[in-house]
Amino acid sequence: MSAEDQKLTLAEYAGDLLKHNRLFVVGLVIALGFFLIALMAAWIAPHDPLAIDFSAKLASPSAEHFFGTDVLGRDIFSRVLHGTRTSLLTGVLVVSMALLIGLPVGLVAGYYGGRIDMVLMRVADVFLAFPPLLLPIAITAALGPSLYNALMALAISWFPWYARILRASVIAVKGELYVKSSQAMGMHPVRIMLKHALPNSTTPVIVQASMDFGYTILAAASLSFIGMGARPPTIEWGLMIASSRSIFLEYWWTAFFPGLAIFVLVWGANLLGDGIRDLLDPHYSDKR
Amino acid sequence: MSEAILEVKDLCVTFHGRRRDVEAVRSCSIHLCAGEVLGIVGESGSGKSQLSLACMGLTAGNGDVSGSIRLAGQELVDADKEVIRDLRGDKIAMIFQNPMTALNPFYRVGEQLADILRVHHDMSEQEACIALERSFTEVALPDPKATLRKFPHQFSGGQLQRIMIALAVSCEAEVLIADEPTTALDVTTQRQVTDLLRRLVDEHNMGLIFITHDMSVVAELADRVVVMRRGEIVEQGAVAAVMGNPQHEYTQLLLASVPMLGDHKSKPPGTVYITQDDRLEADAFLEVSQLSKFYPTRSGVVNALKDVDFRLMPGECTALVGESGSGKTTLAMSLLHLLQPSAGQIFFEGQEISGNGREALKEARRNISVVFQNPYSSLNPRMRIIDIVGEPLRVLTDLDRAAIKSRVVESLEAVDLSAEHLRRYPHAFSGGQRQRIALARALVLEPKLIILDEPTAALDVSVQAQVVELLNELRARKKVAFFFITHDLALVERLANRVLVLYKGEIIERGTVEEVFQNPQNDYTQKLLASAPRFESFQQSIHPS
Repeated sequence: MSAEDQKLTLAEYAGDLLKHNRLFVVGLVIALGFFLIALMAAWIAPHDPLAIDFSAKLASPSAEHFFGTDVLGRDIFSRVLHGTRTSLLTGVLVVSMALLIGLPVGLVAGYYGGRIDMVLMRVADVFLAFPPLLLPIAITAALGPSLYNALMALAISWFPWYARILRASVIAVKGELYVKSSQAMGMHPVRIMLKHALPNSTTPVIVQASMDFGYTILAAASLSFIGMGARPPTIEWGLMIASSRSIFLEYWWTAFFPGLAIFVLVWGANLLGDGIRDLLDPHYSDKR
Repeated sequence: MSEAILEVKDLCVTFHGRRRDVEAVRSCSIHLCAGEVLGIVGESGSGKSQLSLACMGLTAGNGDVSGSIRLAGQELVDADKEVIRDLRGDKIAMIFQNPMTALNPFYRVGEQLADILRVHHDMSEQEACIALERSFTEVALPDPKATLRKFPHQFSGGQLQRIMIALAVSCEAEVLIADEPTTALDVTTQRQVTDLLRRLVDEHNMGLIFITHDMSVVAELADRVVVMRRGEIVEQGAVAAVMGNPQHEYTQLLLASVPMLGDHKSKPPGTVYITQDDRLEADAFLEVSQLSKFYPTRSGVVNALKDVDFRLMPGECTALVGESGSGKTTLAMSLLHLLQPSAGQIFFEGQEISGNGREALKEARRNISVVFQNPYSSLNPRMRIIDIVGEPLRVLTDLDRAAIKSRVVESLEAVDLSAEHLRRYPHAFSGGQRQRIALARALVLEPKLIILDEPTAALDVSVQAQVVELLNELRARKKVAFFFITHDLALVERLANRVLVLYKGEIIERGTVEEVFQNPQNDYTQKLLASAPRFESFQQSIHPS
């Protein structure tokens, strides 16, 4: 196929997406929606999310308080809007920190192989040997519970995945002749890794990272729920659910709306991740 | 001649792409009689493989087949999937280009093949094994009984191809389709496989469709030939008629491009000396002495290279000939300093580079560049042409951007590409063009030596011929020496001045091309020369007197 055939105009591309990949578009809309909410929470929230009003405590959903109020009389709708910031930040920070550690490790291990690979991968295995949430819990327990410690802990327990995935594709790319040809020129290994190995092996990592975005939000919310993550007065969905633990049977809205927000965001993020995988990695997509 | 067992009429195969439809085969009609060999010749993309896959009912899911295919009186187009599946492995069988991937490495050869016989011929396990043993004997496999119990990786490529042929024989297939069955094999093995196929066709009264890009094979093996281009049949008829008196200009082009020994269509330039002084000294600029490479394995030591020594003269083209596994690539990798030899030295202009002399090595790297066999893997798909070709300059010189650009353009023009290609990515180019880009990258530092590792093996014949001409012209003009690695003797004759024959890691014969080709001393060299397609015998088969 020649180059001309592969060029699509933006409009055609969008049309193609809508036709073949509707769920991706749904995920994209959800993610963009939450992103806008996070940006503009301060302007669109009808109430101050931190304003305590005992006279209106545990009010059920109404025109004044769309999602009702919590035990301190704070407006849950405003709190959910503001909580979007924390959750999106969580996803972005954890995934990018994990990539920041995982990519160099995977690149070096895959490119050099041998003993270096052995050492790096066995260290990564240590992190993978813990049950998924136990390691972050242990790390936050040691560092002291706070949102940033929790994020750090999540990133540390997440990076080995990226390291392993990148390592595998770097090993494949290493066999390509353009890498051999650069070696024959005597090019510096760091330059070969950055110019040849990395750009041609990132696709699977990007796919994995976009799918992980949702999981990390979920994991961070879980940590907050058990008191190992965000601390008040930080507004965080998992924390909101935790604070309504003893009362949500009678006052269902105190847990339902933050829970719904987590569900919709994580679902959207997963659709987005699936869609990106289909776009970048045609092997996995269904036959069209 | 007897009645046709396979008859294809107005066959069209269309693939529905997302952007447009591709007509892989356009209303082609062929027929095949029992005991006949039909050669289908064409370059990549000509539709020859799609035509044969359609006969097997193996067209990919997004392809539409229309027209008519009748096998032994039964219509296959739009036939029930069950019907076609029953015919496959019974009346019609197929062998593929790469025998290494045709068998599942997880099962023993006997288990896999016996399965097919049991399904199609209601044989018991025992009967199937007996039938297979008989056909293994027929295709001259050593120790047929043991063959059944071995795994695919225990065989060589030629042996595996025999096993696949044996399967077709024991199925008593009436039609056998062979899709480039010899392309992945060594020359000496190729000859054995084609001879075997011809014998089986005659003995079993099979019909054979032999798909290839190689006119010389067709001339020797086939009764009739079909020439395809871009999904259409441009010419068909008896071999002697088509090849002796080709009507279509494409057939003429194909015939003219076939590399054959002794046709003297293009000759390499003689040794080109850089200055008059060089001629007087005629010193070797690259010297390899006692080079060895061992690989320790569980069962002892494998000698990939054993005491190899030779010298390269400036401006000369030296060919290194050998089959797969002979150590050709190991030698090239050692010259490029990508592999550390176990013993021996490599001197470049008197300086040893095989040790750790960094400065000498850098100087050598500036003067030795390489072009690899596969142009689809040798260019980074994420880089633009200007960056790919300019990379050696950025790594090994201190030139600024403007200077690099002008050198890149100069280099591209030397290989008949131009400055307008600078900003494109490799996927926009064909195989032949990509190989030119790789060549431009090798030339950009104006090296004294270019190592060419089978530079034409991945290209179509007509493109091959162009690249060969380009190489000869470049060597004369740029005064650069070539170290040319190949298994194709006809190319050696067209490109090289001197030849080294490598066999099992040792150089067993050396000399000028004329000396070695006229009067080979070593048994192996003689065998190699005997199996290469020859112009005279080609002439004879198309002009039978």
